[in-house]
Amino acid sequence: MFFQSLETLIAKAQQGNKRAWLKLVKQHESQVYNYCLRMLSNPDDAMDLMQEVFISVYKSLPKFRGESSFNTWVFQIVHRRSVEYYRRRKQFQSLNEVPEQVCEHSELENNQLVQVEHQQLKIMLNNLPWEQRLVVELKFFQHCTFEEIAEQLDISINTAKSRLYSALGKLKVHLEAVDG
Amino acid sequence: MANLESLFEQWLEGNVLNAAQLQQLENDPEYSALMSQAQVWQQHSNEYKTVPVPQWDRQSTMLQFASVSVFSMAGVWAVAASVVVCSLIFLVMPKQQAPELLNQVAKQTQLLESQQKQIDQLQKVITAQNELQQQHMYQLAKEAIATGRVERQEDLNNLLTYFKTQRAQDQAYLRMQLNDLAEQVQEQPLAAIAKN
Repeated sequence: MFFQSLETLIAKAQQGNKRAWLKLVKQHESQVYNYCLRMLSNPDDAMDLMQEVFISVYKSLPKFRGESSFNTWVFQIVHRRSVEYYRRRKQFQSLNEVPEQVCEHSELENNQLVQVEHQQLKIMLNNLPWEQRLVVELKFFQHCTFEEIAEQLDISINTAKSRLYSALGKLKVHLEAVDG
Repeated sequence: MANLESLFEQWLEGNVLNAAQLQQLENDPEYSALMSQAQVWQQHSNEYKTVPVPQWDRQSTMLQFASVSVFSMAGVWAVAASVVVCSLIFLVMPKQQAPELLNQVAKQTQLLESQQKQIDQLQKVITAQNELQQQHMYQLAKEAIATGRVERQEDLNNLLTYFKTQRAQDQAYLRMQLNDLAEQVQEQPLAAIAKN
């Protein structure tokens, strides 16, 4: 009675059911927000981008025909919006100029450790050009195959591979620099 | 090498390699380095603690697509409601008041018809105004594009003229230098000229 499958929720949201739409948002917001956070390294920007993404998803929802999974479809929109957002933001400031954010949950015991890990990840990701960062995100955090990466980013499989290898090469340089 | 690349790809895609294949990759310095770098990313991914989403207004994602305004159909609704009310009055009232009521209904109907005509005329005027405005906007955009094109053309012409002037000046300068050199060579005694 209370459980509704994803397909039912999508169908209801497509018919304009507000509650179904809000449920869909709730189900996907964490994944989208964390993706945005990793890509942009700034919680405020991540929130803005997430909002833009869900507005786009809502707008395009009537066009969703279920040819790919809903998650894949949502993430295709996420990639497009994030590229647009990144280009827009790049006009005003570079990523390295972004001020570090203070975490709101500092009372948690393990928060310090989490913050250090996130900080390391942030530095590693910021070290990469945007295109390579996207491929790394999809490969290691979304666990996509090269074929899926190529499909999502609308590039060839070979381009996806070469971007990943370049990103791995950059990490080597970065680690060597850190180790001295 | 191609074999190693294919093995590495399989490993990246999460396929299980046997011990010999893994050994093959680890023995190669290039692929061994790539593997360890990929493992760093995998480790970060595995240890990544999901950050909770801050409070936000989920309904704001629906705001931009509010339903079509009811007021745009106000005229039609008003006529329909009036007709319904008049019919109800006519049916509910006693029979002796029927002629008077009929007159009133007729008057009301005429009034409504004239109002409807006025609304229709106003809508036509608004539509015509919109079309006119669109035409003006189109003309303006066309003019702006044309002006831009002319300006760009003028800028390019100026640039070309500048290049030509520069080139002419450079050539004149080179010619002068060549003449100077020729004069110097002519003035030198034959003994000073190197004999190869």
